Amino acid sequence: MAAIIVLVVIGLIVIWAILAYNGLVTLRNQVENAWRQIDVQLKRRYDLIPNLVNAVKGAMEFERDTLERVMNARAKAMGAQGVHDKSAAEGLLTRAIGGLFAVFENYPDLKSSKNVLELQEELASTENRISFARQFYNDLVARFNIKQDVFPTMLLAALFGFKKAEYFQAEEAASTPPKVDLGMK
Amino acid sequence: MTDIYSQQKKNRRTTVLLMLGFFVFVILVGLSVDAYTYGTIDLTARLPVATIFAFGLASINSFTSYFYGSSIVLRSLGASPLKFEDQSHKRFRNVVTEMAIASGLPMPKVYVVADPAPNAFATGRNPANSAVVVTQGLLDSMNREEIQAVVAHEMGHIKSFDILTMTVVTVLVGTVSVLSDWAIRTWRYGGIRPRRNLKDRGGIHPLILFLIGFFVLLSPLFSRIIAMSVSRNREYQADASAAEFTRNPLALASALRKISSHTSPLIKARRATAHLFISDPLKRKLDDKEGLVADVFSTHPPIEERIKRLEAMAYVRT
Repeated sequence: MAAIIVLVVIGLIVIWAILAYNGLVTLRNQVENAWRQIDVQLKRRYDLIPNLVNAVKGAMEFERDTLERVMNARAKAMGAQGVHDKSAAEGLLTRAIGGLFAVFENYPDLKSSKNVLELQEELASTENRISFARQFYNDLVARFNIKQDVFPTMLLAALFGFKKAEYFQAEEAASTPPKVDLGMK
Repeated sequence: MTDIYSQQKKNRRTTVLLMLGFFVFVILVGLSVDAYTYGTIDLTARLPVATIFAFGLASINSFTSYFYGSSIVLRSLGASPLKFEDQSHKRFRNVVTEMAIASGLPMPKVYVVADPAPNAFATGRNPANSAVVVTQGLLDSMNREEIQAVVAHEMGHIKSFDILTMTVVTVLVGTVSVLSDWAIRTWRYGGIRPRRNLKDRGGIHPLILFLIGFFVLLSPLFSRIIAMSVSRNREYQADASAAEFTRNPLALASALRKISSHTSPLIKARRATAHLFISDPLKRKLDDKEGLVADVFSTHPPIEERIKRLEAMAYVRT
């Protein structure tokens, strides 16, 4: 009788271990996949920016440094590797684009140009996609990391050497508020 | 009522309980009809023929609509594919893409119905075969964030397989209505006369028999009440999912206000499709009420209550 109970308990533990292990592996893959989704959207943004800059360059002679800042931030973001550097560089790029949109307000003919309006909608949508992809990624990372922290899954995670995933943070953008120039001309 | 996650948890639990209760209820009705017609409570004596028959009939009916329903609905509402020369359609498509990313679902098909009344619905049996439909009126009267919130609500329905849940609900409602119809007909025309030879058949007390009959007579009403509470609960859940995807519950609140302030109903909407929409497209008065009538007929919770819950998610003090 006692032997049967011991066997049943061992059986249950093995079943739990299999399920928990599979859960961890699934989450790890989902986290990786979510990261690739962010990457897809980031590439989309890299491709859109030159189009927008070319479309507005003629009309915005006097905003040379704004445009340059966007292009530089884009180049830097494209070169960045790893979750940490990438999120820092992307934060800067988001800010540079925000600055460009703010300057638009000074150019009424730009604001009414159909081509620019369409590009602006595309870029705004891309910004949203990036932030939603980031939100989705971060939620998955939170679930993955919590699983590795709570008992008893933490034992299994430690045994098989699962590592915590890194959050995609918009730290640069969040810690320093964007400069708003309200100077009247 | 508090934040998004505890509301979602509560809604999920409510739906599970309601569905369990519904199954138990249907089984009870079926057994009652069988007990009444055979005149015995001892069910081991025979197969519960009525229950099995009614359930089978309702299943065939509803699962046909589960597989073919979405194309029928799209056609009957006159939903047409997007026109990309229209800037508002382009924006709508972008918004759906964004919400597909936020919810982690595949991109659904997108359609627009040419109707000035702002409204939206989702259909399709699973995320891979889903469609999100909005009216032109919605695209014209709402800003980007509000459209986003409405689309997120629909993606919430898709993500939690609400179309499947409502199909099961339809099966159960159908089973009950077949059962009670059948019972009433046979009792009225005396096809089977349970009251005769009671004692020979193992005998149920006449009073109990009367109560069972009464229960069967009223069962369609009860099943309707359960079905409508499931439907309303799914609406609350989709609202909570919208808040989760957009992190902006107030945008949905303001979209709901705009939808409810538009007084004319959707032209092509019918009662059969009303439960699909984000807000009752027929603009029936009882949607703003609570009580028995609303419990039986209302597919959607009152707009004010939905807005109140959304504001709670945004921690707005009222």
